[in-house]
Amino acid sequence: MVETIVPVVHGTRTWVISLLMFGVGAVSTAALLGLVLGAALPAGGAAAAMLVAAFAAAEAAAELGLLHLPLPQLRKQVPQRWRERYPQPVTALLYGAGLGVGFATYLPVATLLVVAAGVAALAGPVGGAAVLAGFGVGRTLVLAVATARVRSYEQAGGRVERMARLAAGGRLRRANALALGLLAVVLASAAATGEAQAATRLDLGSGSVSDPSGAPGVFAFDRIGSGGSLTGVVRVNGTYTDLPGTQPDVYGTQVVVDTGPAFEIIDVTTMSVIRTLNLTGRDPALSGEWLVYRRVENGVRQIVLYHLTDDTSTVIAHASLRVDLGPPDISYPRVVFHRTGPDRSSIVVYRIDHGTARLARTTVRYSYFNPSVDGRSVVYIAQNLNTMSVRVLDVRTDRSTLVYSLNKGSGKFLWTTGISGTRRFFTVYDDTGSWIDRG
Amino acid sequence: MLGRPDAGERLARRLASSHTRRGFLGRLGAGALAAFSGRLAASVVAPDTADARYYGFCGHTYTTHACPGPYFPPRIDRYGRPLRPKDGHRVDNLGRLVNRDGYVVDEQGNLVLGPTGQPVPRAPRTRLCQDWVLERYHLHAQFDGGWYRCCGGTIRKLVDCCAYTATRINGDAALTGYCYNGRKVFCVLYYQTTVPC
Repeated sequence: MVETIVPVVHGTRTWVISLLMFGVGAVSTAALLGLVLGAALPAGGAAAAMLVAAFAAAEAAAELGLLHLPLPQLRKQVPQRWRERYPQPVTALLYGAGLGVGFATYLPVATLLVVAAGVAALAGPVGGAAVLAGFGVGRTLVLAVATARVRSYEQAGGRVERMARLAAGGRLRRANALALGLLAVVLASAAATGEAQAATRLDLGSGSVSDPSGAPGVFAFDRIGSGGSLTGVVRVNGTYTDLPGTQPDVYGTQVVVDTGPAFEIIDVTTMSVIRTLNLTGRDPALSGEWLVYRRVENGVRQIVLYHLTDDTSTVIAHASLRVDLGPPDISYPRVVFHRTGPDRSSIVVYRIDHGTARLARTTVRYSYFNPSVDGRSVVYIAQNLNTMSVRVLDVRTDRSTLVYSLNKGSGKFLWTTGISGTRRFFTVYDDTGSWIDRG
Repeated sequence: MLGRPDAGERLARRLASSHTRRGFLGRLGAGALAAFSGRLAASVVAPDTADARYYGFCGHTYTTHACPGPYFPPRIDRYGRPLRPKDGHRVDNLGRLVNRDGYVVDEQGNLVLGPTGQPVPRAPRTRLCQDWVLERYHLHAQFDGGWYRCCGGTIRKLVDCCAYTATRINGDAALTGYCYNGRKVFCVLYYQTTVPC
């Protein structure tokens, strides 16, 4: 292949064009591979970073001969017939495209495999494309170094052999093991310190959106009109349907919305209203036969738990107007909400079955707000002097991990959250609008 | 928050950072110039990287660093809660302007709203000495005494935040200062009175 793209017969001008065409082909297919890999899995957080770090460490050990790991590759070279059939620039483009995929030809080291795994586990489509485009650039640079200013095919061959000698004696593998080891250390330390973060913006159409709520196969949110008006929307199997109210909360195939005078529970498979509850309040959330919402009554803020079967209400938290009781969320048997007053900010977890509440997170210095719960995982926003971050708390182990963070001064802020299994949703906004990320 | 140091401060800083030994005259000169410059606690001069830093305002120079808080230097109200240094406006623990009810407002006093039109979540507004130091450093701290200087036409009190500790917030040995009953100065704050001087 190197002998095809040398400035020997066709001259320097054609060589430059061919090199550019090779680069275009290599970068395009490498970026396409990154795009596909980045879109294949949801972008993970610290746990995913730790897995990739372990993989990188294992591959580093394999490069040093300490482990035997298979390397997926097609041990083929680019077809020689292309150089006979097409003009040199076209051939260069095709060769670049073939080599840019990486796995379609011979792979001497495992670096690409580790990076591809990292892209799939940690990056979104755009980030993945950007990262793997670097692989295409690298392949092009190697070709440029191998063929620049050569005067004969023998000289080109000799240069390639010299480059091969540099890698001989296990030097290439040792260097690669070192690089992979460094990558593993960086990823592991990032994961351990909670710095690993990745988020994917959900494509929910044009305009601003907020208030995510999800369940398997169902996703609901508020669309924000140009005048600031809210419209609840539910997406089921890729189809968007407007809801008769706002602040939707999904439970299975049901969604509850606030219509103003009442809360309505809707079956999203038929879009029929199952139940209308003439309750005064806002921010309803649903879990089985339980509904939770917040209201202000007689100058007191209240979190109200409503039993749909018995039609009974229980005030599970109350506070003066000087204290915020935030929008509640429910995943039986837990209800979560934030409570922030002049003296303290807390994430409160209330157990319906025990009738008890505890402060899962509390601080006198900073602010915790807008938690959501699914099972024993609580996703919430934490804000301190320097950052706003999305964190996930395991209420059994009391361990909290970072999902995503924004630095003060970024011009972006975090708002409401949602959680469904391992998928954490959160609203991000800036001066231009708001969107929902998944992390 | 803090303006650019004026010429006096710059000179003090340069003098302090240019000499190579912990000379008494160098420190004295830095301190004197810092005092002469008459600025707020913006003057931070370093005689030696291994030595104490000096902070000063209105003719007073000291070495204990400020208590944790949303602004430097930490200005407090009569209860020890944070205020914006430049104008004494009430701020929450995140340094945002807040109204009497604790909700975040802009410079015109309008509520700051999120994307759905609801006020952004509030944050606590707690005492920087008693509450912040307890949570951050696990020390039960309190106000004992302080120093007074004329600053900007009114009396300013530099308040010692005292605790039973041998180490101050700088990480070195704590001083007794204006603390009593065995307590020592952990960090300092200031309160700007309305008493003319």
